This record gives sequence, C-alpha cells and structure tokens, in this order.
Amino acid sequence: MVEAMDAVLTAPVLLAGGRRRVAMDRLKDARAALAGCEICHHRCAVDRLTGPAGRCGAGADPHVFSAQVEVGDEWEIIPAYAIALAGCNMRCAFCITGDESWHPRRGQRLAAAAVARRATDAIASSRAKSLLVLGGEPTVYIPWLLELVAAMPEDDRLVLKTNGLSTGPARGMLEGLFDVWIVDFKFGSDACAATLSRTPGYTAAVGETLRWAARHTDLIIRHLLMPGHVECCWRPVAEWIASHLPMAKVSLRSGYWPSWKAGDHPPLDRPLASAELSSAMEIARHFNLRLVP
Amino acid sequence: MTEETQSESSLLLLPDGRLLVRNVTPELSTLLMALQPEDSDLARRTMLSESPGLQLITPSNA
Repeated sequence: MVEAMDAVLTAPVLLAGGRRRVAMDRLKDARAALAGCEICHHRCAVDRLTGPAGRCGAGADPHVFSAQVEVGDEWEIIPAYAIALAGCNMRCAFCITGDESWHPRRGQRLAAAAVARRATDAIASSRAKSLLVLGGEPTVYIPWLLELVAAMPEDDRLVLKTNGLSTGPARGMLEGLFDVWIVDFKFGSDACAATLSRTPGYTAAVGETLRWAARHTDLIIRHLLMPGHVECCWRPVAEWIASHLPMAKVSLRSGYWPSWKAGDHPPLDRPLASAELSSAMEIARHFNLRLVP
Repeated sequence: MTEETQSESSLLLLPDGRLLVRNVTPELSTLLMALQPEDSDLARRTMLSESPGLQLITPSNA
C-alpha cells in the first residue's frame, strides 16, 4: 500500500475588478498589519516589518523551501505546482517539515512574481492544474500572498493550505483570493495541541476558521491520523465536523511519517497501525463524513 | 530551495511492507505505479499527472 502524505477545488471567485486588482488594493493594509502583528491566533503584537519577531519568528517576507509539481494531494487539485514557505506559528513536534517550519530562514528568498511565473508556466504547459501554497504556514505572510495572487493569471486555480490559526482580519484580507482552502484540523483535543504543538486554545481558533472558510471558499478539511491519537483527536474532530459542517469535504490522511521530534512523544515515534486506520474509518462512517480522496 | 529541475521526494519503507511517500512528483508516481499496478489511488494520481514516464538508469547510461 502506498500512502501519500500530503491536499483541492471549486467555484470561480468573483470579485469586483478581479482578484488581482483586489489583492493589490489590500497590499498596503496587509503590510501595515505586520507592524503590530495580530494576524494569527497568538496575537504577538510585534513588529515584523523590521525583522523576524513573534512566535513564528518570521519577518515580513518568506523563504521558499520547495517548489515543484506534485501529485500527492487531493485528487481535485492535482497535479499541483506546490510551493512551500518556511516558517510557522505552530511548533508541532511531529512536523514532516520541522526544520523548515520552525526556522523561517530555511530555503531561499524569492519574489512572489518570480514564483508566480514558474507556477503560471507549469499550469500553462499542463504540467499542473493548480497552484498550491503551503508551509510552514503561509498565512503568516499575507502581503507576499497578495503579491502572488496579483501576479497570477485571473483564472488559474489557487489553493491555500493552512493550519487554520489566522484571525478574522487576516482571513478578511484573503477573502475571495483563493479558490480552495485546505484547512488542517490537526488536533481534536486542546490538551494534545498544547503538548504537541505549543498552541493553547487550538480547537476554538481552528473552528472559527473552518466555519468562515465553509462560507467563503471551497473548503477541504484535512486531518492527518496520528498513532495513538485516534480517540483523543480524530474522533472529536469527526464529531465536530458532523455537528458543525456536515457537508464539508474531509480528507483523511493515513500516511503519518515519524519525523522531527516525534521520538520525544511516543507513540508518535511509530507509523500508524493498520488497526488504527480501520478504527478511524469506522469513526468516519459513524459520523457519515464526506470523505474525499 | 528546491528548483523544479532538482525535484525532491522522500520514501520510507516500513518493515511490514508499507511504503510512505512524501512530495510525490509525477515521475515518482509512475515509478510507484510500476511497483504496485493494482493500487487504484496511485493509478488515478499517475493518470492525472500525465507523467513523462520513467527513465531507466542502467550501467550503460548512468
């Protein structure tokens, strides 16, 4: 059995003046927001315009640590030209890209327009059918994301993969710009989120983003099954989705790969067991979730 | 950064025979398909990717 680790699509985005224009119009405010950054759940209120700061430790502009056509994400969006931005506002011990996510200076500084050119070429030549922006956590770099959107053709399919910790004002700056939001609902338990990712108040913050994304974009909720966390994390995640967003598309990922500091948090130091996958699928059936491949 | 001409993927082979794959490129999906032609999910990914196909590395062309 081959299991892919990794994210899909939708109704056209309709903004007066087109999304490129809208993205440019929002740029000034987005950059100003970094001067007292409260664009994510942590609300550090630090100045990221003058240098790296805050929980994410990121400056204003990202480094790119991966850019290539990939087919491991959800069927709806592949092949995707996937670009990964270093830096994240979570500290997941098991992160598959831990080094790049915890260290925002990994990779290479690239202008959004340069990345857009590469993505546009990939899509125009049919090597990709969408642009997928992921991290790390891309929403900590909203000005750069706006520049990227402004440099992409109006009709290309844009997909944002996020951990869902953006605040309301941050989401407002991104509204209407990405065709699809893939929101990673990692933990069903605030205790697990605090222990494994140093993110207090996790479930409420992500729940807010999920409800917003369901109203404003084509939403895919992704959950990576973690060994030993089916009952404490997947079951409450499934129950929450069934209760709040029963029609949402759910991408259940089974390819957990022990990495980074997972060895410090057994049983995260091992792959998912077959019995755990069976149990997780039974939970999905019980809550009648709309699973997507 | 990983340039597109220097694509990067990772594979982890588990003792029970499972194979975990990270950053699946079209070329890699074709390779995996050769290993597991019965995998319908992989077949779909390979089909969607329109992979250019495999280049076999042999002693004569390595």
